[in-house]
Amino acid sequence: MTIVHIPDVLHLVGSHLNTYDLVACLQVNRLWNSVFIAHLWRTIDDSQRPWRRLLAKFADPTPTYYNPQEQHARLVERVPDKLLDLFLKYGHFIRTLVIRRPQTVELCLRARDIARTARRREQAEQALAEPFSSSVSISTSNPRRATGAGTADDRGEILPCEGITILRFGFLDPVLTFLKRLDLRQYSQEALYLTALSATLLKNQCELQPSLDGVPLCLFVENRGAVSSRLHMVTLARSCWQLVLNNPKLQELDMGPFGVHEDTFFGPGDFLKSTLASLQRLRALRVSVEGTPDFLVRLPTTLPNLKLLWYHDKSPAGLDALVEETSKARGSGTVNSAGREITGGVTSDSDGTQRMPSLRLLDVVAPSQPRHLAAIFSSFPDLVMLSLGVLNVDDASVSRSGMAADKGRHDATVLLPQHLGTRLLELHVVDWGGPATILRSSNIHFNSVTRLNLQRISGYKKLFDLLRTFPALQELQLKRLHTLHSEVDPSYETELPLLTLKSIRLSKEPFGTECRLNGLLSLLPNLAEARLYTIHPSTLATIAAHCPLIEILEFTKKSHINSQLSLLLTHCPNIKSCVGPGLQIAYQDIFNHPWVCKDLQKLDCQITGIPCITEDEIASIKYLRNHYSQNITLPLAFDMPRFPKSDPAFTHEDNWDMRHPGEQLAFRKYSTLLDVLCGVYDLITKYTILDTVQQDRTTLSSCPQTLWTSSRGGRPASSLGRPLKATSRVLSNDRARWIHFSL
Amino acid sequence: MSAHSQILLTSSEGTEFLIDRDIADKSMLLKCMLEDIGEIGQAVPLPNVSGPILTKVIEYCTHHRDDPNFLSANDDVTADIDEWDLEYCKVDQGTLYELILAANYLDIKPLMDLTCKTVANMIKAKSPEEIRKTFNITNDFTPEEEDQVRRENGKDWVDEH
Repeated sequence: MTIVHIPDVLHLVGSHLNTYDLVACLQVNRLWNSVFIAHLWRTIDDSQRPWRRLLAKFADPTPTYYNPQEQHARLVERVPDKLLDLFLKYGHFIRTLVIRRPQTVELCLRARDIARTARRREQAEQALAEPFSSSVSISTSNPRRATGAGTADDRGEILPCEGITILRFGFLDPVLTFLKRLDLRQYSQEALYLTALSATLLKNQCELQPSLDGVPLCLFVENRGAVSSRLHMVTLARSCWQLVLNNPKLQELDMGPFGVHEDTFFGPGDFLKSTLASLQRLRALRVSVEGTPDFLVRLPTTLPNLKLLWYHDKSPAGLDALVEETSKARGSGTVNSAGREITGGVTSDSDGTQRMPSLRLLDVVAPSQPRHLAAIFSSFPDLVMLSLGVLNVDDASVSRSGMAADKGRHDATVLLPQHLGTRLLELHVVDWGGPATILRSSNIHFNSVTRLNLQRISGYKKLFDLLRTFPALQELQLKRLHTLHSEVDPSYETELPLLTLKSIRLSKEPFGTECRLNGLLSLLPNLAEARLYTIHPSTLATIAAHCPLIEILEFTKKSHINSQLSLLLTHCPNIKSCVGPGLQIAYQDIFNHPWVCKDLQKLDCQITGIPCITEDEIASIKYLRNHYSQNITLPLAFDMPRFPKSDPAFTHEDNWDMRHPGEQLAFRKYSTLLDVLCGVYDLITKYTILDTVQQDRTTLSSCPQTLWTSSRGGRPASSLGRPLKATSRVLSNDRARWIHFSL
Repeated sequence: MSAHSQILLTSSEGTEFLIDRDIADKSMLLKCMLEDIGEIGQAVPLPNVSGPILTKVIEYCTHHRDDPNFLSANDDVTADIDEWDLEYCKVDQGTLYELILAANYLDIKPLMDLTCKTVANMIKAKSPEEIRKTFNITNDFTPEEEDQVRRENGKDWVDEH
């Protein structure tokens, strides 16, 4: 008995294997099969194999435009039995389900329905066989769930597609576009296929009707004003919600943005709220809540355990409601606080404000204003990450906030003893309108924010002022800066340096002028990571002079000449990676100035000054090699570290029988090149841990353009760790981040 | 002060190991125990862990003693194993299995992850037959069962035509 026979250990190993290896493991023996089958089916993404191919065969809504007739002929009307069987058999292993095609929804519901019917029949037969045991088991309707869908039987086994904890709906764009066209049916060329497909889908969905017991049709049709031609979308929306209802253990639900179909997919507020309230374990939620303004206000009672929320509502009504609620609670706090209800994870403060301490991430689409932020921070004081759309002050609220300021001055001393937003670590803002100190007046202080992601800001001066309002800022990501023409640059000599900022990432070219980029960099003495879109000739010198701690320097746009690379490599001892098109260094510089960067792992540069060998000369060398000295290797590729050191035996001209002056010239050039390259290689490997030259640039004529890498260690990363990511990707990619939030 | 205190452990053979408190705290089992009952001054018996294995475990905890992300860093299942850890896991299968059991018993999650990842690496990119050979496993499938496994969860998952 070894460890490979202990299921618990195998389960732990299983989480480190990919699909390929899991498939192999299934075929090892019975024990391994029983263990690893759960891992293979744990995560299903229907846009990945094998589902991509299997599902595309039937009722494919992504049309092939060139031949609708043919596609019509190949249209499979029903879910293939093979797929259904698989889902029936293994569906209960699914924990994570990513749905990109409508058929998957149908498949899940159908498999569950069949299994449920079979189980009921079985139970009924059992009850008949043992009339005295208990007649209760037949009526398995769960009293806790008003939707009436029985989740589990007596044995506690789950039905197919009922154990899902992470569910994402992110229909493919072509699917959504196609469904829209299906409604309109205006393209004559495809009309035949569209009609046939429409009929098929509708027929299939009619069969699904009995299983949609939790989602009344009228909710979606009446309240959304959907006309009959859109019945198709309505049924799809119902199916999706039914799938949600079937999985009460959901922890993450992503009802991704559905574009133009958004309104069809979201039921009325009451339905939405009652559905979500039944998912008590939900920790992450992305949902569109148009027309449900009290969603945020009610959140503490509906979903007390929620940690991450993407709140998609284009109108600020929900935020306004939150503001009202906060101020109301504050106003009535002294009178009413004793009578307030405490529900779930909600704590009521002495001032009566309902707070949900567990929410860590909030993503708001609607344009927000300082008063909204104040309400958000006082309602969710533990927010770690906040993502905002446009942050602005509109005229109406200026006067209102002016009024509120009078009142607020009184309030602030009494009711807001501590600053708001002090626990926030990350802030993403699409557009920072208004002045830089816009939030100070609302008592919001980003004293602990370490990461700031700005998409747009207008005014270079404002950016500087803004950076000053983040005393702990370490990472800045900036996309676009609207330059105001009247603006003059600040004098960088007198500006105080930004001591905390360690990472700067610029996409596009926000600063425009050389002076501005260099000016900003000169204020960053602790900069460790600079990922810039473009650099100017003097930028390297600026970095070498002002940012001695730089570790990563990368840029994407080809700049003209950057011969100051040597400065960087002789001044910045911590540099790990230096990559960007157009970097140059003269080989004499390598010989004359010793580099100080012992940790350099990646360097993309052109080594200049090296004798250039023409194609003719290479031909001469080849000729020499082939005809005169078979036993001596003259390398024709620059393949470090296998490139041989100069060997006197073959670099000495007399050893060669050279008759033409051209050959002699070529040979001399070749020997010099060899010497230089070997010298460069020796020095680079001596100064740094670089030891490999990328394979595709190793021919002799192209060798000066080299990408040096280190065989030790993987991708160079700065001491700051992972780069900043948009919040929309937190849910799907960054498991580490997720843990960070759940701590 | 507690950072400097030391804990005495006894392996299954009775060998005693004196380790610093912060190293013992890497093990959730020891940490919870020490927090619950306090330091009693007596040796803590670990009847499930042999001396050589305990030495190995202590070596691991000592190397990672100042690792700030000890509990969260290894969460990324796709992350590569670092050089020291890779070297650390170059042991024979028997030792590796005992390490897994010890890590499980002492509840040291990063070590558990590391050892399981090492086993996973032994499985990776191998055919079923090669896996059987590596771990000395006998195939107990009937031909029909094996065929069914291949048909249902076989090449459809990995091939794309």
